[in-house]
Amino acid sequence: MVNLAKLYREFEKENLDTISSLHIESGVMRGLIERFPGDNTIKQWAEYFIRLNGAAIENLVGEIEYDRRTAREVEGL
Amino acid sequence: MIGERREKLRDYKGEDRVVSSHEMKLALDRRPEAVIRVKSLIPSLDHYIEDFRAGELIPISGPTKNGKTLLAQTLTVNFEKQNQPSLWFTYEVPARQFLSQFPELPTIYLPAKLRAHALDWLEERILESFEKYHTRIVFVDHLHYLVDMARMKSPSLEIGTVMRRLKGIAINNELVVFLLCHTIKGKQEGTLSYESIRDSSFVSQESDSVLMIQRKPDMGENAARLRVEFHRRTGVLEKVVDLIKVNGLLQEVTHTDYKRQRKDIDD
Repeated sequence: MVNLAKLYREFEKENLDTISSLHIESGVMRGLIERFPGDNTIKQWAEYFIRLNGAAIENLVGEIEYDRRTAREVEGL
Repeated sequence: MIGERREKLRDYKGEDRVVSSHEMKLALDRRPEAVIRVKSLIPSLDHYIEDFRAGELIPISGPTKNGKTLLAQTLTVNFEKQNQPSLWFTYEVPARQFLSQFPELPTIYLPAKLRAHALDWLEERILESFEKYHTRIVFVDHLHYLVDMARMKSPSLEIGTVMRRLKGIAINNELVVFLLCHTIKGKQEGTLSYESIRDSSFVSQESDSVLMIQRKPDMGENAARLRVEFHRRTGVLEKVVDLIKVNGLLQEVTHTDYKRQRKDIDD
């Protein structure tokens, strides 16, 4: 049972790493918008990816909260 | 020796070399006027100051518990709507409390651990955040955590030095820096001005604009008044914007809000 809790913590670590990279990716998108101020296509695409990353981050935060709850429950067994 | 130095200077090509106004103008024309321009999304404030731009240092001041942090949080949320997330140094409020004060968690960046009285560290984190997340807006809550009051011989001069350093950081890195500052004790009553900012006239001298906020219980339980003390770029002086706290954030009082508030007070 303890190993299962450890597994959930591994999931959490992986998800945290992904959240971090998604934030960095959104930063790159913001940089692109700034570098090409007159290019509406780049702006629209970059904003789309930022929104997409935002939604993915929210989902991952939800998953981490779920994993934490489950790990606690497993430890309590 | 002197001749050699003169010859070296004549050939100097460093990025800080002296250039003519024509060369400077041509170089500036190749770059956008400001890499960042964000609106407050508070209509009257945007009318008075147009927007916040790269290189600007903006103190937000007011008495304790009068809405400085709330105004800064409102701006943070409104900037994020324009795809400009902020970097926060929240010395005054613990991170857990700070994040829980937002009705919905926005994207903000903040150091995992804070270090007070450390300007070099602050600049390093600002640059780190820019390199990682491309953040061009910085909030520091508040000024007195950047100076070591206990070891200060002349608070006024030390604060002046901090302000100039922050202004330099804003200009050199094309950032907008918001700095929360307390007012002088005993200045809670009556109308505030930038002269009410605690400890140093350098705060306003080095700033591009000063925003003062004060709660107005006579206008309603959640009402506050924002004053643009001055704004160097637009030339605006002593303009007032009435605000109300709705769903955890500030917004401008509309005519309907005002009528409702008056009715509540009269009742």
